Amino acid sequence: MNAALDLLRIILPIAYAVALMNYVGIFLRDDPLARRIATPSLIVAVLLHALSLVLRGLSQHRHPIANPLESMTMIAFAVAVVHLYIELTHKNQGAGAFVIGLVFIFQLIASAFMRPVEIVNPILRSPLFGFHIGAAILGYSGFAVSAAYGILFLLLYRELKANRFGRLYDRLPSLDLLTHMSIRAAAVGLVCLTVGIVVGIVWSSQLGIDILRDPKFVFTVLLWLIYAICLGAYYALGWSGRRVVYFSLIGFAIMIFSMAVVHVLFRSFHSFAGALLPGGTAAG
Amino acid sequence: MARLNDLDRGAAAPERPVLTLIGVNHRSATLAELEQAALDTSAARAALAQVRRDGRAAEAAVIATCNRTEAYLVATDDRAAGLGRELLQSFSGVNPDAIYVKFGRDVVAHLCRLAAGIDSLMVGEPQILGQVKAAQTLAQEAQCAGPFIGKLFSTALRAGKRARAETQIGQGPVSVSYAALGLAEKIFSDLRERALLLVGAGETATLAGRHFAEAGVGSIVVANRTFERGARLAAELGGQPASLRDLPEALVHADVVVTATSAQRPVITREMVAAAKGRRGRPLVFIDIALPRDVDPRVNELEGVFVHDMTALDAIVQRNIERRRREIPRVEAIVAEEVERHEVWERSLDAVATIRDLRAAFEAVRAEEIAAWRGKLTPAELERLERATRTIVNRLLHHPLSRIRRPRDTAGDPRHFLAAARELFALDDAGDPEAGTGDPPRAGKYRGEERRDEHRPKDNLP
Repeated sequence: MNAALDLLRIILPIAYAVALMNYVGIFLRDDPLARRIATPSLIVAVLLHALSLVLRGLSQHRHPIANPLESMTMIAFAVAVVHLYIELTHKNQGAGAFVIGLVFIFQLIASAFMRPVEIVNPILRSPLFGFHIGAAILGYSGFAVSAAYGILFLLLYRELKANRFGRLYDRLPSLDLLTHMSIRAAAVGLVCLTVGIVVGIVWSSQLGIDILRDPKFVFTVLLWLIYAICLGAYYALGWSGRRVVYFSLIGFAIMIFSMAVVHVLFRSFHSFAGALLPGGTAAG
Repeated sequence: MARLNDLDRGAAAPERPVLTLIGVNHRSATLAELEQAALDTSAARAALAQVRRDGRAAEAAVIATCNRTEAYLVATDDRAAGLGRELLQSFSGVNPDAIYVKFGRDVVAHLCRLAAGIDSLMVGEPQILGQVKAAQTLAQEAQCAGPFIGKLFSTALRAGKRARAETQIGQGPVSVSYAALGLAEKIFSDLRERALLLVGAGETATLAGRHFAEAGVGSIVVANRTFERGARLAAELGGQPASLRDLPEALVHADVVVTATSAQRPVITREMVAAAKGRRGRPLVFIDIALPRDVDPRVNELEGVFVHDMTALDAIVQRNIERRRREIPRVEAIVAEEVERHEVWERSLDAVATIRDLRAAFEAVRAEEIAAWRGKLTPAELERLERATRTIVNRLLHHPLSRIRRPRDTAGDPRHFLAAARELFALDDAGDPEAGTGDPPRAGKYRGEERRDEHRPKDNLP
């Protein structure tokens, strides 16, 4: 099993790279061959990814999200799946180069630094934790998709304003679609993040942990606030699409920061050291 | 491309041209000459009827559009050239140098290119395909279409469909009004939920309005200086009329605004658009087809508002025209494939015709000789004579027929080989029972062949 996982760890970035090259070929040259094989190549990569997630979960007897790297590969997976869905329902491959580019980068980082987790903290086996982390990852994935489409929106907006009708104009889906996808993904992300935060609060109080001082929790609440304001302003105040996207990109930046830096700079609960097992004993 | 004068010299005409094309188009002739040569449907029908009566061409078709008039003739010899010349002489006033003549393979290539849209004024235009199909139907109705015209046109139509399916020759708007529609669709993916505001009711506005209506835009408001004219256009498009005074209010509800008035100063100002409250951040697109511009360029500075004028639309159109031109080599490759396919068919057909003619010629001699003995032999002797002569003919024909069936064994053009065979056995003069009898002309070599068989005893040749 480990051999298979090691192999997949190397194959995955390659599979996404192949898909990415096809989408870039569509974007730059509208290559007919690329147009035919891009979507199938992405489906292959996604299936391989699903396989690797399942295998890793089985081999470690737990759901496969226990550290930032595992989170990244999970997010890459979720973004790829969401993008596939959008591409197939709207029949537009134009955004693929950018979104799958993001997926590729995330997966590359995850594959490069992924180590089998030696110490399996027993608290990670809790189903409530699984629920919490699943919701949080879906939330982050939603925000990642939102950021990808938000950036594409900004690119197309600039082209149209400047009356430039080049490749971006030809290949990207409509401005409307980009706005809706960005907003909708952010909304889904927000809902999932809400669930994740609530479940997390419940679970951490069960363990007797003072969650309010955890740096990651603070950043997560900040993240939640930013996206909540974005969506509220869009729907209730009629903010323009551009303003919402800029704001949401700030949120995305904070999200990346909270994922990466927090684990390096702070030692706290979210590093899973010093947590209490149910019953009050220290988990080490 | 041979010119009409080449018909006289005959040097450009191959020995047995089957397909001949004579015509004028927008490149070879001036507009005045094109008008002179123009044919409407009934004139085309009359021309075809005339060709049928004349009899020098076995099959014929005519393509008559505003950019070309072309006659396609099929004949078993080069008398068709003379017919073509006479047809064209009826185009009085047309400069002979403007008339082009093509034979055989060039005709196939020409019609394929035509159907594929690369001979048109507007590269990749869709109408020409329908016009070619209509010409084929007209020829069928006038009973001028036979297997050659049928094959020629079906080959061309396939080339046309392939070109449009396999290349981008027909993609991308190349007219300003379609470019406007494309722009709107780049901003709003689903126009069916959007509101169009049309400012102006002249020709340009009408055309744009029709395109948007066809695309299924959700609602249309037509604002015009003269209310009645706007109301008429609104009625045609299934929308509502408005006056120019209502513009500020209309801007609140509209998503796409197409302006095409003849006003000398901008009709839409920055202040007007900025004052359109209640839009709740929805994008607003101005497509300004007017010259001088109807929309103040400073409107583009507003958040979420896009202004595209004629410069932008022209840029889009030019870009698409360029892109279509770049597809031409790919279309030429498709044309070459289809021409080759047609060639293969034509070669096989000649062999069949030659075999049939050869058999017929031998059988004619055999039957004649038998007939001379009819009164002088008993039925049994006659029967033996029949069998003997039949065996002789079969044995004599065996090698030539099997040789003709394999034209590829020949070096050089198989058609010349077959032409030599026809020459050797004199198939083209003695073998033609209807030559010089004044009978109605065969509509096609192969339809005539059926009639011939009716008059002969059934032959038992293999």
